This record gives sequence, C-alpha cells and structure tokens, in this order.
Amino acid sequence: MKEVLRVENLKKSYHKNEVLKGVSFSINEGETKVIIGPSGGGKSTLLYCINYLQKPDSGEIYLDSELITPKNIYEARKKIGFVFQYFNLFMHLTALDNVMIGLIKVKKLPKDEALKIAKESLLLVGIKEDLWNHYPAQLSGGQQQRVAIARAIAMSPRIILFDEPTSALDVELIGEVLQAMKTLAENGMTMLIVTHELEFAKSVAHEIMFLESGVIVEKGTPQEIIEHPKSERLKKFLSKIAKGEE
Amino acid sequence: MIFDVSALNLSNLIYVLRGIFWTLFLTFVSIGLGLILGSALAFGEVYLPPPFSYIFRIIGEVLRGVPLILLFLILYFAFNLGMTLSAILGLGLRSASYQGQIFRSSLEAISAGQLHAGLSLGMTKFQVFKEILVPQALRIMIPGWTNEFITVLKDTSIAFVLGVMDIMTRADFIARSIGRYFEIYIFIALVYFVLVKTSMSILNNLYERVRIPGLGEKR
Ligand SMILES: Nc1ncnc2c1ncn2[C@@H]1O[C@H](COP(=O)(O)OP(=O)(O)OP(=O)(O)O)[C@@H](O)[C@H]1O
Ligand SMILES: [Mg+2]
Repeated sequence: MKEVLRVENLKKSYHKNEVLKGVSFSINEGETKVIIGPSGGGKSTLLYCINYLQKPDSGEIYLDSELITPKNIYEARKKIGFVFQYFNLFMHLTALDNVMIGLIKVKKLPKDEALKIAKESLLLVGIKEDLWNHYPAQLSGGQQQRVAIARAIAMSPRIILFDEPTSALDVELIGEVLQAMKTLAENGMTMLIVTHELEFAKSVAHEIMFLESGVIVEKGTPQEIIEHPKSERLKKFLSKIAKGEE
Repeated sequence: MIFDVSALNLSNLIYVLRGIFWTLFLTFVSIGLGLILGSALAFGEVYLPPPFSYIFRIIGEVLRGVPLILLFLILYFAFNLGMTLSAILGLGLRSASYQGQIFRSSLEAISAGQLHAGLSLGMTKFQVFKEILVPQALRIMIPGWTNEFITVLKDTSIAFVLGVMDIMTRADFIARSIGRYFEIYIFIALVYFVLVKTSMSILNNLYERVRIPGLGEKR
C-alpha cells in the first residue's frame, strides 16, 4: 500500500504552552483515520501544522514521500484538502464559485473545465443545481459544509483533513455531512478526520487515534479503541462523550 | 424677514454656481487622496506588528482629533502650502483618518477562517488578498464610505477660510456685495442639498448593484 502522509515527531508550542509533544503517524492511500481527544488536546493544531497554516516548531511531514518545507508548501497545499469546523466559505461567492475559484486561480484550469468539475463535486456531496447560485448566507450550515467539502474534493487532493466538520451544526444537519464524507470514503479518498461522532468513526475509520495533551496516547481499530480501551484516560474520555460532555 | 427674490437674479446665480467646479474638484481629489492614504493607514494598523501598528493608529487619532479649520490654518500658515494645496491636504488627511477606520473595520469583518481557506487551496497570500479580502472589504465599506463622501462634500465649504473659490466663498462674496445674505445662503443650502442627494442616490445605487446577501452582516 502506498503511503500518502507521514508525520514524524511533530512538535508545536504557543509561547511556553507545548501543544504538540512529538506526534507521529502515517496514512496510506484510501485509508480513513480518525482523531479523537479532549478539548485543548491539540487536534486542530495538528491539522493546521500539517499544511503549515500553523508553522510546526520541529518534526517532519511527508506528502507522497516528499518532505514538506516552507519552500514547497504552496505546491503541497494544492494536494491537501482542508475542511474547517466553521466551513469558512468565501462569503462573496456563490456555492459554484466557491468550488471553482481554486480550480481557476490555483490550478489555472480553463473556465468550462472548472465548471464541469465543480458541478460534479457539488453533486457528489448532494448539492443540487437549485443551490448552485446561492451565496453562503443563503445556505443552511449542513449545505455550507457540504459545499466546503466539494471545494476541497474539486482540487483532487491526495488527502483531505477534516477539523470537527459537524461540531458547529444543529443535530438534524449532521447526518447529511457525515453521509457526504462516507461517500468520499467509499470512493477511496484518503482522509484524516477529527470528530467525536463515534458511530461514524466505527463505520469508516481504519484506525482511531486518541490525542491528549499533545501526545497520541492510544491508537487502534475502532473496535479496540471504542469497545476495549486500555488506558484510563481514554476510558474516562469515552464515558464523557457518552454523557455528551465533550 | 423679507425674501427678496431679485437678489437671486441670473448673473448672481451663475456667479455662485461657477464655484461648483471647485466644490466638486476639492471633494473628489480629497476623497481620492483620503482613499489612498486611508487604506495605507488601515493596512498599517491591521497587519503591521505592534510598535508600527501603534504609530499608524496614533496618526489616525491625531488627524481625527484636530478641527478641520485648524488643520487648514496650520497647513496654510505654518507650512506655507498655498490655498489649493492646503485645502486638498486638509480635507484629504482628515478623510484618510476616517476612511482608514472604515476600511479597517471592513477588513476586520472578514473572518480569518476565509483567509485560511484560501491558503489551504494553495493560493498565495497575494491571491488571498486580491480574490478574497479586497472584493469583500470594498463592498462592506460602501455604506460607511457614502457617509464620508457626503461629509467631505459639505466640509469643502470650510475651505472658505482659505479663500478657495468654491460655491461657499462665492456665495459669501456676492451676499456681501449686494447686502442680501438670507436669499443667497438659502440658495446655496439648496445647492448643497441637491449635490448631497445626488451623490447619495448614486452611491446607494452602486451598493445595491454590488451587494451580496449576508456579506458584512454579523451572524
Ligand atoms: N493561535 C494560538 N495561539 C495560542 N495558543 C493557541 C493557539 N491555538 C491553539 N492554542 C492553544 O493550544 C492548545 C490546543 O488547541 P487546539 O485548538 O489544537 O485543541 P483542540 O484539540 O483542537 O481542541 P477543541 O476540541 O476545543 O477544538 C489549547 O490550549 C489552545 O489554547
Ligand atoms: Mg479544535
């Protein structure tokens, strides 16, 4: 199996606060890995460091065996999709233009080709033609997040990073976003997902990693992590989730 | 008080109205200057690191804190800049400080998340600025900017102290020479009112045409 992403001994501090204390893992082509962990544990920081939205202090990140550096980061970002907790759609662009802008401005595709890809991407996440000309403010949260997913997949990235993609959504909208992500997983997209939707994780994840206080405390199959947690900290965290506290 | 219509004869009116050139010239040049300097102030304040951003903020605050008439007199007498230049710089600098504020709050209304989203697609910082920040900031600032335009338009009349031959100065001149103030002042009040209303409807129209639903509105 071909390795897409490898993170080695990644460290990051904000001032004196060490948020990532040496994180290592890798993801192969077509795999979905899920990260869980308590608030403030460094999950977002980890994702932001992978595509240098935050600069890591030390450690290495390899994309398709190539070391990511500040020099090649713009090339690397084209191949790393990112889906944010708060969608972050471009507010002055319609759904369709949100998906097309990367294709046109970054990939320099001709307009008709970009349009075709954008439409396919939107349809894949269940955004039908009647919504294509809506501005973000005219879409529900679930629709916005699906447009954001379409924006990421349109670039045909090697991997997509998801930072709690459903945690800002009303409960009744979570399902449609998870469904879109499931479709991607079935299509063989490589994904790294921070989420606390354990049922979803069980159904799509090849591996779950438990990140707490900047270290991966435990990792394993969904079975191992959710049904048979070993460490006390993971057990405690899972029972908190079950009570709806995280 | 009697309103003597004969004071508003054609030659008097034409004499006053010829000042519209200076009124509009001062307005456009000062607004333009204010736009350029104001965006520089805004970027300095928002994007430069602390010691430098403070300098930009202080410049803005000083300019907002000085009465316009005093600014004119300082430029004219202390810097010997001449009538036209003092008028343009006085109006332009003060407008820069207000336009800077308008532009800054427009920039700040755009979430950092959208900038991250642009970068995550592989855009360069300049592309993010050009494709995401500017088109949104320009739209968001139009309503505030409309007010500023009107303020400058009306405050060109204060350049009267410098002797710029705008409608205010000319009106005063005529009023004095014929000894009828009320009629002439009412007339130029009307001229200002028409100018203000016209600019407002043009700018509001522009805003309606480029407005995007939900943009700049707090969620
Ligand atoms: N830009 C920043 N500057 C300073 N400290 C930060 C910054 N971003 C995050 N932190 C700190 O780093 C730690 C980890 O934050 P991070 O957002 O990565 O956690 P998280 O696991 O994603 O939490 P959550 O589940 O709440 O999203 C927190 O203590 C946070 O306060
Ligand atoms: Mg987070």
